[in-house]
Amino acid sequence: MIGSLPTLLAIDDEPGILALVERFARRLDFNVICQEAGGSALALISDVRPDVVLVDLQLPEISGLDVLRAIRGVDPECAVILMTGHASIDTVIEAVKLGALDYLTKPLDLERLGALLTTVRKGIERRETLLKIDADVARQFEFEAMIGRSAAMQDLFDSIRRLAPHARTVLVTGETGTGKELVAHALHRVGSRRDRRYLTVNCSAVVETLFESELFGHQRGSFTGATDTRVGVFEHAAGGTLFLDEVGELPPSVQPKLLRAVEHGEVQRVGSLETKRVDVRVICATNRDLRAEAAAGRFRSDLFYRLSIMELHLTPLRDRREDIPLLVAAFVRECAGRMNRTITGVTTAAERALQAACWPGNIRELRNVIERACVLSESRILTEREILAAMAGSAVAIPQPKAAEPRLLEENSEPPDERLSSAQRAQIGRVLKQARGNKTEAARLLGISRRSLYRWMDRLNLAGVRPDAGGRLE
Amino acid sequence: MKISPDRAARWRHDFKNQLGIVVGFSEMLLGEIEAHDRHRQDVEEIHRAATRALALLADLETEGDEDA
Repeated sequence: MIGSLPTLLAIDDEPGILALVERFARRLDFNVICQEAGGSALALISDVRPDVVLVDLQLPEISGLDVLRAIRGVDPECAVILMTGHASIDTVIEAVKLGALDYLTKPLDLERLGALLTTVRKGIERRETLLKIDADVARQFEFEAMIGRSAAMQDLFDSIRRLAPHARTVLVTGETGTGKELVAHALHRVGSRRDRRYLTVNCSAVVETLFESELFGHQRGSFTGATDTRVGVFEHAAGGTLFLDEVGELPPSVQPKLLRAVEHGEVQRVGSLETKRVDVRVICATNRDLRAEAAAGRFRSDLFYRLSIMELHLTPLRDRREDIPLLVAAFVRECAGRMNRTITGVTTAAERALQAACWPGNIRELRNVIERACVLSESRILTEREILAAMAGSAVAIPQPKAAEPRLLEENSEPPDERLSSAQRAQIGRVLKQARGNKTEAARLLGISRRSLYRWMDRLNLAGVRPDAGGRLE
Repeated sequence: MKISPDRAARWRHDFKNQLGIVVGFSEMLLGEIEAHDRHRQDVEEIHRAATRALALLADLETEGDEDA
């Protein structure tokens, strides 16, 4: 069942026809909006977001074909049915080229119109069913606010379950936006310390001179401005968990003290001679390569080895694309709920665009794009146009050459022209090189099936791409 | 009285629209009213006459084309 009634926009300069269509479509549970002129109808399109438009070919001022063209620009996924008193071969061909769903002659065959409206309704229902399945699956694959059915995420969840009860220190690594903080929180929530304190310190946000005091506290009068004795986060988190985010930013002067705290559970407030013992689980996170930092002498090796006894590495989103539909479903549900809106998901074309993007900002970026699209959208299902607009607003979403890529490779589509073919050849060549010639892997990276990849390679005469040829074609 | 072909075509178009509306509404009514409803026969008459008129209009169009 559709969440709310699908909308039909009927455009005809004859009020009697509009009355007939309105009466008929309402019986089929469509919400109907009638307009007598193409111009006023087009002004409504972006607000109303109809699922289907029924438009007379011969309208005064703007013709039905012009209305069809304009709708294609605003909402490519809206179904358009043309109607006319005199069908000519030329207009029929033009309408089909522009992607009209059908062409009806007058007097209207109500049975046929009914069948077309049923087709539109079924298409929406099918999409919404799929989206609901995605949302349900997302719930099933949710673990402590993280979602993933990919092998990488399932392994991660297993590791968290295994480590949480025992590990004293854990290093969480991964690119920005991969959810390191969620992992840290999950380790706390799943472990036996879940009822104790969980404190977070973002190491990149603390002034270097105050670091030691922040972590270990200070005695009154130990430095200028220290008007009171203050407990540091280590003491404050005693018995619980301390999450040190961006630990790679930790100043060298504090590193030996952190090592002592982690290794022996000993902390010393600034200006105090007394050593206190604290029992704190320390979870650190970084998007830097700490091993390389340690090798280059920018991070203490002994601290690195101590912190990385248990390391959890988070896979970037581009390497677990199968999770994108579930993440999208979950983010849409969350945003719609917060905004008190009925948004059920994204269209197939929008999903393809989301699948093909490279996501350097990972899940955080995907979430921001979905949130922006929800704000921009007026419709029940987010369209490709809205998603692309939201991606364009993202600082790092898709680099320019990639922006066109989601549209370049589409399942079952023909190579449209030479200009596009060369872009596709370059894209496929590059991805094949990245996958070292492995077609299954290349198809996965491109977000298409292996069969489709072979079909495209065949059409583009790409059989001669050598993985070591730098994506060049022979 | 002589009328221009353009005007004749427009009249035919408008006439067809109006008849189409009569046929369409009567068709919907026939789908809604019961077989034993006392109005059913009347609506059937309306539907039949309008459909016949549409057919006549089509004949007229064919004849017009032949004359031209």
